[in-house]
Amino acid sequence: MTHAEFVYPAYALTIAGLVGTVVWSLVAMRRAEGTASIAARRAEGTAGIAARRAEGTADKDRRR
Amino acid sequence: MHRFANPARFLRIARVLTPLLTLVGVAVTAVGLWIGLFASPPDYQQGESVRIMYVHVPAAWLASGGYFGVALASAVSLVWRHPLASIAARAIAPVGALFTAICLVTGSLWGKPTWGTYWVWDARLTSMLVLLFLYLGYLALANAEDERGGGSGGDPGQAKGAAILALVGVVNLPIIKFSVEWWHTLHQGPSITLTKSTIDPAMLLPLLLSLGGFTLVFAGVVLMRMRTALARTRSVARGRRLAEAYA
Repeated sequence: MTHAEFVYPAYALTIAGLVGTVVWSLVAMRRAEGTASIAARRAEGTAGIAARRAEGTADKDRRR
Repeated sequence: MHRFANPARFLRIARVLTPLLTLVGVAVTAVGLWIGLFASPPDYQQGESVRIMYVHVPAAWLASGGYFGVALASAVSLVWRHPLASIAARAIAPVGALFTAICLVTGSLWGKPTWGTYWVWDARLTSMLVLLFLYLGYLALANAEDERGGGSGGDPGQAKGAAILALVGVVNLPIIKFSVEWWHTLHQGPSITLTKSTIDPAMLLPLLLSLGGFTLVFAGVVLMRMRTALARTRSVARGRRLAEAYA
């Protein structure tokens, strides 16, 4: 029984866990923030369409 | 604290701190582990297996510290109903559970050459295993609450069960800390206290470096997970508004 049999697996497991959780969290964060910014752009576009629709209805009402 | 409970202000600070904490943490951890593995001396009794200390002790510190963070955030969420507190508790828990698992496995790997066995139902080892079960119970309950519509993205008032479990589980932290003093255990007593250290400086340096590095990485990962939860909440809210606009 050599000490390396226990020391190296302990380090490998810890480093894999540490790197794995950093990469997994980073990828999830980038993906979620990307989706949120796309949703924000869509929401801005929808708000613009809704505002133009409201203006158009108001113009029609005025013309009548 | 109330100032930082504003999600927009929190995000501004988190965007700066996340890469800083993670990169500095990874660099400090790498230096600490390199010194621990190759440059620090072997122990006169334990020999080379003492090097497991440089991964086991930081993992144990973050397992207990992480649970204290979950409990503190849960208390804030219950008392002041800050949505960020609930998000913080849910962000810390999986990372804390991972470090608890690492602590248990590296402890077993250290136990075999030192005590002659991977596992013994000793007070310290058993209370750490109970901590892992508390983390897993908290995560299961928090996920169930999130699926029901409470929790991090919803009404904090709906998500009391996980927070209460986190607070009840705090009783295990002093048991972990003092188990080696209250009972006769195979696990050694504390080597570092607030006033003194019995560790040789050649071993103390890599231990402190890896402790500091692991803590910074832990904080960086928790910020990433909080930002993920906030971004998902924003996407869901905007999707709902979009659906209402087209309805």
